[in-house]
Amino acid sequence: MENWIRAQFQVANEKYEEGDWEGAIKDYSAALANYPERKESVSAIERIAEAYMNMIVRSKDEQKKRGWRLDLEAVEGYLGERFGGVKDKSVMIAAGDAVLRLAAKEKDVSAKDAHQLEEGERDRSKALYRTFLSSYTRHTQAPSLAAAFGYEAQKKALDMDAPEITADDDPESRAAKAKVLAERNALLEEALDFYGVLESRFPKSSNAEGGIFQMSVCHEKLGNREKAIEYMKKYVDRVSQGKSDLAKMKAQMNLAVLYQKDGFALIAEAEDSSVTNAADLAQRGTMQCVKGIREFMGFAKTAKERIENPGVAAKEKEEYGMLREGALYLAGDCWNRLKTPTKKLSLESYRAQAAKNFEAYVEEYPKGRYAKPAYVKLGRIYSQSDDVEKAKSALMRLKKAFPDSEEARKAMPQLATSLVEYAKTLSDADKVAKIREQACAIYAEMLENGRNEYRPIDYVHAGEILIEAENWNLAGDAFAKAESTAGTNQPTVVARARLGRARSFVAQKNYVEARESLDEFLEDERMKNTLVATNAYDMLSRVALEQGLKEKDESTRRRHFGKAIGAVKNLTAIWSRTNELGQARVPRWQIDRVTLTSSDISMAQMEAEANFGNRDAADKARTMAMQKLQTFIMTREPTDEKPFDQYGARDRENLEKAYADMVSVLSGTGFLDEIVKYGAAYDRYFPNGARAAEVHRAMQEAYAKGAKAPDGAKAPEGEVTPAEESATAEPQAEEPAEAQTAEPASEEPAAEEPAAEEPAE
Amino acid sequence: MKKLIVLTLAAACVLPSAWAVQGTIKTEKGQMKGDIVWKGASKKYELTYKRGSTDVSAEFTPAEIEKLDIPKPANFDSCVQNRNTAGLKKIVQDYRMLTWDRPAGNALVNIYISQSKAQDAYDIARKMIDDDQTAAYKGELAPAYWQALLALGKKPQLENCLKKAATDGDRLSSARALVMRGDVIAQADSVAAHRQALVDAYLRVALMYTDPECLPARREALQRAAASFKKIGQESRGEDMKNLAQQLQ
Repeated sequence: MENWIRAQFQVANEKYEEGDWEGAIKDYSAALANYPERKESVSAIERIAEAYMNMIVRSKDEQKKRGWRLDLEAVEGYLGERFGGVKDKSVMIAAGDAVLRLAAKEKDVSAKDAHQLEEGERDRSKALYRTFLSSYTRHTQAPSLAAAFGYEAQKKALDMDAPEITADDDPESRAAKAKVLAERNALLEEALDFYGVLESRFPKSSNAEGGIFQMSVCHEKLGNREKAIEYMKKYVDRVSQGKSDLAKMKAQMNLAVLYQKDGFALIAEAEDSSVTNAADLAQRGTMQCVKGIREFMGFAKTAKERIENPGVAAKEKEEYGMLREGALYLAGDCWNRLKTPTKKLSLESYRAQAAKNFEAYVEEYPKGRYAKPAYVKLGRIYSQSDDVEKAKSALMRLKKAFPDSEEARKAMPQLATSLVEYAKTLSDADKVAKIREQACAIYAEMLENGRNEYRPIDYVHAGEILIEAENWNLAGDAFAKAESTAGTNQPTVVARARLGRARSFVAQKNYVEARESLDEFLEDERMKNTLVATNAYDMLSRVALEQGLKEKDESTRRRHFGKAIGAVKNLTAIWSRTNELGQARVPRWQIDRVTLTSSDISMAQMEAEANFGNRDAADKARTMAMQKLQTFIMTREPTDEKPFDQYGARDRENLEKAYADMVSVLSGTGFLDEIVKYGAAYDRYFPNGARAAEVHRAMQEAYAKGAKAPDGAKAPEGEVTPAEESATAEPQAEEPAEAQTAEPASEEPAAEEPAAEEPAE
Repeated sequence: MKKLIVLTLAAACVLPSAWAVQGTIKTEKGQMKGDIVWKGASKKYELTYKRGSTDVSAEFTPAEIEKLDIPKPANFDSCVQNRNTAGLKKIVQDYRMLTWDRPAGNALVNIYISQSKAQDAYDIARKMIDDDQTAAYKGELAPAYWQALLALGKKPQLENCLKKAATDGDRLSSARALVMRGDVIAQADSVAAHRQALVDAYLRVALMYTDPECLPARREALQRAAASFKKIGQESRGEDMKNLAQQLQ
């Protein structure tokens, strides 16, 4: 009988071997009509599928190929589903193996025929693997396949960037980042699907435990903290059953880390000003972190007991050692990061605990895996606790243990920096002075003795911090040292040093020397071609503006303001070019901000000229400001294509400023209807804006003088209160940005009109 | 295992219950004739027969029974013909797990479906399925039960049953399940939906269920495949399917 049955398939086999695919399909189908579900049937069905694949790949007839593709998928699906539950295990395994072979072949078919496939056909291979996992739960390969696919998707996701969308992002950037995040999250969800199959269908397989752990990891990456903890707990429960103590402790340590992360995430949420239950979140977060700390200390203690136990094998002791090391460090790190005091614990006690833990750590592991950050953090903690000597001692220990490390090299300068930053948080002037003095002493030592230890950029940083500490002489020394030690291949370092010197003059309000430094900088061909030159132009615009405000001589005054506007122009031109060349990505809102700086300068000029009694020049400056603001508003106001609700926060700030400044500039002119037009626009988009009162006042005055309300607007209510003769905006020290708006109309000829330069570095 | 219980009480005290019917149970050891009752609580059959003046009972699990021979209820045909729902309900009740509950239940469920009483159909089917879970995906009752699930919008339950039928049911149930699956998918009536209905349902039955026992389902599948091929713009293939379906009439 068996021979007879085999013979039924043999004819088809022969045709298949000869490459008569259609003939083979016909004969196999005839045999299957009589014997649909035997082991021979499985081979026959697989060969039918392969015959279709061969025909698809070889044929050029698109219509036939489409038809065969449907038949192929129907046959594959049948094999993928029907035989998963058959009683005869050998038939089930044979069918499962056939499905896997077909899934692997589908990848090749898709690759050869990719451009011809319809939408949805490209993932045929994946679909078959999923069918296999769904139907062949008794197949030995199923759990490892699920684990492999889960891991593949997870790895792809974790190899991708995880961009953060911020309020500063313009709509384009936001959309691009959102797309990347969506792809990443889709891969993590796919990984969770496969691991979920492991957990639900193959709970006893050796892969299931690892799958549960990875599910916790995936949930954590997706921001599902509760689920991450839930799955880690499941993992701990599984490991606790029948595994070694060491394995259990490792699992529990992973859970403790999650509690810690959850705690800090809650604390971070509490810092969001929009949440209403901030205090509760901060409290819960702190308690979660303290819970994690207790767990870590428990692990450290248990690990020590194991290490001291002579019955524990050497290899295990080594692993316990690593666990103890990690636990000690993490406990210190948690204490260090806590910021919310509770009824029993103050900020000082957090610092004290952190120091205690870190000291215990470095005593036991002076050159341990986490020793470098531990020393650095000790330095910071002691400096914030006013104990400079202890801070220095910690950093000297760092230098001794890791003399060639980057951390050691930066140790003293960082200590000095953290002292200066700490001083900024204090209100006691004497204390501030004392701490600054200590910081400056460290820098002075650095400049005196650190010839081979520090790089030129370290001196630049020192100079920048010394400016904040208001030690101008030492800052100047630092910049000079940076310049003298920098090589010819470090123009950026030299540029920063020279700019640092200029910044020092600006901080001292010594605008004459600042201007000289900046002019010298920008005349140097090597300097003005660096990207750092944008900072120079930014500073120049502010310095020239300050000079203009105080200059009594009219033509000199005009040159100063012209210089300031020219600097802004050059800055925006450089940023435009770097964006076009793909060398940088300056967001549009930032470029717009600097464009508005140009109108700020014109408004400041208007006021200065008025103060000096020069009416004509004041009017010209006003006209300049109006034109710039009008151009900005025309190119940036909301349209049907880009409605207001799509504007980011920074773009809204810029638009609000433009409307308010326009109203302010127009006040004191005869353009009454224009005042109410721009005022109405301000009202429409920023009804509760910071300058609403100022705008309303201007509008009321305009109405009182006979202005007509624009269509759809109503006159603001309230009494008319006298406004300033001309409300001009203070020139603002804005972040340098690049303008994409139309260039302003030509200004008063300035003494120098720097041309837009090509960026070099 | 079979348990023989010898009752020493007078026969009058051991009357068969109201659900007992005359029939024959055949096991590998032989066959026994008597009053047969299905005991839902223990999920066993009890057969009672007379040995002399004594009533003797034996219990059997469904797995031990090779064949359960119960004569057709006298009013079965008339109830089916006259669509007598009350009569069919009584047969379902009286012949619970005694062969004739299935065809009676099937007929009853179909009548309720045709009267748009999906909930009643569902309730009847569920009672039978509670006694025998496999009834949800194989046998005569299954397709009618699926219809009830579809009518009540119980899609997840329906999909589970169809999946189970496709993988674990007998070949005819499997084919029928696939046809129903195709109908559910094709309801969306888009090109993509019809393509999926072909691949995951109709074409599978048309190509792979060519054994004679699946003929009724294959015929339906071919007809539906013809319609779906036309929807996706493969008219000539649709015609082929239609012709083949007619040849199988």
